[in-house]
This record gives sequence, structure tokens and C-alpha cells, in this order.
Amino acid sequence: MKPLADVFAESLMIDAASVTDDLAYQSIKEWDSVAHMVLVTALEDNYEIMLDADDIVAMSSVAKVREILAKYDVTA
Amino acid sequence: MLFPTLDFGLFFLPVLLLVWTVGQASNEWRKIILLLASWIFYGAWDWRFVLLLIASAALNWGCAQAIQRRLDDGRSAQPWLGLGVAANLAILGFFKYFGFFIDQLAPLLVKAGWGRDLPLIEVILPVGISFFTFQGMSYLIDIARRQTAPATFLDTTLLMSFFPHLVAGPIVRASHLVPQFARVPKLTRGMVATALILICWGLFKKTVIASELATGLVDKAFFDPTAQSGLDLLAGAYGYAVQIYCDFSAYSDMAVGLAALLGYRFPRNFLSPYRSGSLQEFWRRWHISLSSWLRDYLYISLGGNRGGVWFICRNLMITMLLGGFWHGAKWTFLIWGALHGGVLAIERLWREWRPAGLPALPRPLAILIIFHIVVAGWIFFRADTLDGALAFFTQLWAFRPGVALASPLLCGLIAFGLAIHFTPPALLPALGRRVAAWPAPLLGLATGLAILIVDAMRFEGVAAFIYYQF
Repeated sequence: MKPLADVFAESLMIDAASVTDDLAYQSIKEWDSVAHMVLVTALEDNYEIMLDADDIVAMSSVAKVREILAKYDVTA
Repeated sequence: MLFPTLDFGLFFLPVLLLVWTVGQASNEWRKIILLLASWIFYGAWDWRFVLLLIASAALNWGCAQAIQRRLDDGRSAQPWLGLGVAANLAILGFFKYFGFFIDQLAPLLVKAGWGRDLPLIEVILPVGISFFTFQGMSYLIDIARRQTAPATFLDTTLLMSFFPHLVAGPIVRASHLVPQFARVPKLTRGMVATALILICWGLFKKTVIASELATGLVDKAFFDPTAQSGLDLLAGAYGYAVQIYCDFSAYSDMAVGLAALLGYRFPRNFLSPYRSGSLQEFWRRWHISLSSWLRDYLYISLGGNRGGVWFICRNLMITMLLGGFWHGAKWTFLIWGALHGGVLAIERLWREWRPAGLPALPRPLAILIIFHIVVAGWIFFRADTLDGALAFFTQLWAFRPGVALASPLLCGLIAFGLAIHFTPPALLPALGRRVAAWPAPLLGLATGLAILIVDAMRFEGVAAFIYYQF
């Protein structure tokens, strides 16, 4: 299982060092709606879960993603 | 075509095969295959209504384009939004409520000499109409609120017709599904495992628990309450609470699972509703896609929480009354809505005026009270007529001795249906992760075996889902 920062970095094609908790959806050009769906699949692949559509819409920042993953019993 | 039938299996498997073969090459073809499959699925009830579905999608697509154009020009979207919402409401009103008003007006019409024409103006209700008209309305409102961008014609039509949610929800919004339509999805092991668990679990809840309780207990108790003992009626009321939960949540679970096998994620519709410590919490756990729809598009449009406490109570009451009316034009549904609206308002007032220092109710006691309020509402909801509901309550109050219906098996099913509300919330993902690790042949074998076991446990035939009629 990859660390959360790596999943973000690979899906959004950005540097892992720039994945901070306050990195927000659409705050950088790399995290757009298309990349968001790539990220969703990568998260599901990495943690072997299926995300709820409401949670996908609510994933507005790295911190929020971590909070949502906790609902799936994933500590990231 | 009902989900838990062989017919549906024979329909679904080729669709699954097609979307993951032909559909892999082109996302557009994939969506066209899904669209055609959805129309075949819907057409299995009545071909004529497929045209209604297409017309409704075209209407919402056209209005969405017009709204966006006006927003881009810096003008108000109101005229097109109003027209679009009114057109959706008109479709819903005509098919769903026309009959009710005609019935209410029947004596007048007969007096006016139009009695002979009455049977001619009776309207057949297309399955799932309230789900797709609600989806249409929220789509237009989201665009007018700049919360979503208009989708292509293909995406709009598929959003509204996609067969897993078409007939009994969950209400899927454009923001849920349209971004997922942007590219060919990738199926992950976790998704397949979760989907298969949800489908098997849904099959069990529907064909074993809900069907058994309906035929063995609930239908008899509600058919003639005056013939039943107090204990049987109490079991009947609890039984209906478990039946409607198992029936409806099973449909949602299967819808979520089927969509997932096709590569798309839906919103979850139920989250252990009977473990709620307040009615407000109940509505965050029960039919979540409808309650959040009512909150976002009706309650907020009425002014929401912006006014004083009485204004909020008024909005809660209107929202729940209309929520009741949405289920059908019957007095029993309106009373059900009024009960929920009333208790929600009382909860709100209590929060406002609760004496400081008063200890809060212990949570188990709060859960017990809320459960019984919900059960009381279900008695109105289930009864065919208002008189039937009142007779149920009168007989329950009289509590005649004896037990004829409530067998140990049925009571066991009720207890089981309630006990599953108290499992840990992360049980599904935990199970999913475990199952995802299995080799594919083992997973296939286990799914087949689970379906066979459920089939062996179920009783003759499959009753239609309760929510098909809404």
C-alpha cells in the first residue's frame, strides 16, 4: 500500500513534496475534475475500497480525503 | 424486470460483457450501449414510457443549455429554470396526481353530467417517474446555481435513464455521475468485491427477510387489523418497519452494486436508520438521496434555516408534508409527512427552549423513542386507507390476547433486521478488503454459492419492491 502523498502525486502528476494537507481541489491546474476521477480510482485501487459518490464530491482537499478515508477504516 | 430475477440476470450479464469489451475501446460507444440497455430494461415494463423518458431527457437538456446561455450573458436564469421545473412538475403531476384529484372531484363531475367520461381520463403511472423527474429538476437547479455545468445530450440522457437507479433510486445527481462519464472507468478489485457483497446482501435482505415478513406477517396484520391480537399487531408494525427497510435498502444496495460492476459509483442511500437518536438523525440515515434532495432543493428554497425558529418549523412542516405527498396522493401519506414534520419541529423547538442543566436522554432510550415514532408513522404509511390505519391503532390499543401470526421464525427475522443496524459502520469496507484479496475464481464461486443459498432460503416468487410504485 502506497502512502497517501504518493497516490496524490502519481494521480495528479505533481511532486509528492507539494502534497500538503491544505492542498485543495481546483487550487492547482493539475487537480481538475478529470484528474479528480483518476485520483478516485487510484485511492480505490490502493486501499481496495469503493468510494461513495457523495464522498467523491466531498473530497475537497487532502485533509478532507484523509478524513473521508477514515470512514472506510483506512488510516492514511 | 425486477433485480432479483433470472430475467434480470440474463439481461445484465450480456450488458456487463459488452461494456467491458466493446465499451473499452470507446467511451462514447460504452455510453450508447448503456443507454440502449437502459431503454430495453425500462421498455420491459411498458415501451410507450421509453418515449416519455427520452422526451424528459431532451427537455432537461434543452433547458440546461438555455439556462447556461443566459448565465453566460449575465442575465437571470429564472425564466428557463421556471419553465424547466414547471415542465418536470407537470409530467410528474399528470401521471402521479391527476388520478387523485379526479377522484376527489368525481362527485362534482358526475353531478355535471361527465360521469361517463371518468374512466377515460384515468392515467397509468409509469414506473420510477418521480425519480427521474426529481433528477431532472435538481439538474436544472444545480446549473442555475452554478454548481454544475450542462452535460452533453448523451450524458444527460444516460444520467436520467441509467438502469440501476432508474425505477427506485437512489436519486443520482449530475454532480455524482456526469464526471464519472468523462472517461472509460477502471474496475478495481475493491470495487468488484464491494459490489458483489452489496448485491448478495441485497438479495438476502429482499428475498428472504422482506418477502418472508411481508407474506407471513405484515400483509395479514394490515389486511384486517380487527381480526388480530395485540401481540400480532405489534409484531406486524415492527415487522413492517423491518420489511420496508430491508426491501428499500436492498434495492439501493443492489443498485449501488450493479452500477459498480459497470464501473460507476452511486451515493449510499441508507446508513442504519433505526439507530438514530433523533428524527433529524433518522433523516440523515434513511433514503439519504431523497432527504438531501428535499433539503437542498425544497427546504433551502423555502428559506431553510435563515429565519426565526417558527419560520424554520414552518419550512420543516412544508418539506415533510410535500415529502409525504411525493409518495402518493393519499391522506395516509400526508399524515405520515405531518407526523415527521411535526416531530422534527418539536425537536427544533426543544433545542431552542430546552432548560439549561437538564441532562440529555440516555442514547439507548432516545433510539427506542425515535424508533417507535417512526413505527407509528409507518402504520399510516402502510395502511391502505385512513380508516385502516385508525383501526390498526385502535386494535393495538385494545391489545386483545393471543398469538396467531408472530411465529418464532418471524420474530427472529425482525430481531435480526434490527440487530444489523448495530454493526460497526466500517464493516462493509473491511469485508470488501478481505474479499478483494481472494483469487478471482474463488470470488466467482463464492458469489454463485451465495446466490444459490439465498435462492434456497427464499419463498415462492419475488414481490415487487415497495418503492417501485413511487
